[in-house]
Amino acid sequence: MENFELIEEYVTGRLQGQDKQAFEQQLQSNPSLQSDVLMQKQIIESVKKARISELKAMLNQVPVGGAMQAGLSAGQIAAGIVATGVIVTSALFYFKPWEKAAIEPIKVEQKVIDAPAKTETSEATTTESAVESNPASTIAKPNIAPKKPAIKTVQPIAQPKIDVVDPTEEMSSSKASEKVSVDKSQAVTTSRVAVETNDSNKKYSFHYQFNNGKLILYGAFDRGLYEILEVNGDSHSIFLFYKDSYYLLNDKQTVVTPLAAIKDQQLIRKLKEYRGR
Amino acid sequence: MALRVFKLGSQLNETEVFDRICKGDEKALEVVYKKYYRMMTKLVITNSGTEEEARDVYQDALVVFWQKARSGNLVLTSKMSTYIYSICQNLWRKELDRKKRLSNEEKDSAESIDMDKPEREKIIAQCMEQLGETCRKVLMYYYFDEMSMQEIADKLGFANTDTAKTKKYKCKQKLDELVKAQYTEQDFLD
Repeated sequence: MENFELIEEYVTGRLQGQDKQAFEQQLQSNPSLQSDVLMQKQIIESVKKARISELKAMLNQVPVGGAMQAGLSAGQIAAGIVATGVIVTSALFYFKPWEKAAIEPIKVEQKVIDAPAKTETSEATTTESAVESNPASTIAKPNIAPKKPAIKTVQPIAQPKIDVVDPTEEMSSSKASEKVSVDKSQAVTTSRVAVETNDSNKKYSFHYQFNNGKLILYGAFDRGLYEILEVNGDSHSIFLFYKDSYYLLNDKQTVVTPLAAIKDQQLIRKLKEYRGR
Repeated sequence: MALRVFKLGSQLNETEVFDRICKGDEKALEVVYKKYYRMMTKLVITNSGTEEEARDVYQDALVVFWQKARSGNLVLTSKMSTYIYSICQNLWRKELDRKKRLSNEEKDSAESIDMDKPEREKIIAQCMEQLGETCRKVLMYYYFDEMSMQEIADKLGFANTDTAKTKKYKCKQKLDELVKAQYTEQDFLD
């Protein structure tokens, strides 16, 4: 195709003015050129479409769970978590005698509302996994209070729907190579770890320790919302979620230890996933 | 850098995010996507759309937004969310119209002008798949994102713009050959 560049400039709209006119004249009387142009149009169109699909696939990986959004109150987050039937308690720790809580595993069907999933791996993740939910933790109201639209110009929208985000695609990207085994089949339980916060010790501003199975958080935790996530897989792992960061807690750690945020993006994504349920 | 935006959360600086999108920062687009997800999908859901359709429309709208921002010709005269919202509205209106037409004129043959086109698209898409990852990216960045050779070189870690240029040329040539092998030129003339 000797006119390669000219055709491309024409097809991508970069050919202007006289050059364009001359080219179009030539085009009218040259069927072979017409055919080339048509082909190039379709090829470039397809390249663009491939990019659109790629961008959309990328967006599909973004977790959009309502409870993840900033600006929600502690109660709202707790409500969201309970409504989705999994993990975690929050500031409620103070009011519950966890030790006495009846351990009656309840099967909770996961809320995965989605039209045909786009990824092949979806079946592995959307199956109703048995999730142990501690009935004692369902204090919060099981309704999700959606975040207010940031814009006032939009038309008023009644009846907010419960979050129906599909975690499938996001899950499918996870790799087996995670440092901490957080497997799909693993049960995520409502945390029964007793927690105490201690803000009186100036030396420990953001630390933790386990003392007789009780988690003690040092620092100004009262003002923020913290959550404890327990993941029961091959190994039992406990995570702290606090101010948008995740921390791995070692329940054998009896010495006061500084908290260090997890940096592994894969793991964070996975934890987010569990937290969002 | 990108992570910082995530952490900013509600204090997300709109101008900064918009600038990044203009520069082709996909992470910034993700931030926007997440931030307005509820608001934008609600528009469709409360207007007789499904969740799936809502997400699709919102994603399409963001892709349009992305491309416009990338073109460098977009000057925001309103809030970013207002702008994206209006794209969503337009797209959803179009989709509703299309559905309506489809049900009204289901048997109208005028709709099916070119049945071969989707088939061709599929074949070209398959040819795209045969290209290597880098090739695909070069072409997509060049034709869709309209990145400069410098931007492509930066993004894909090429030594310089010449490398990017050569890559682009060769990749395009390869794609053309693959497509041509599937078709005689006559096939493209209807």
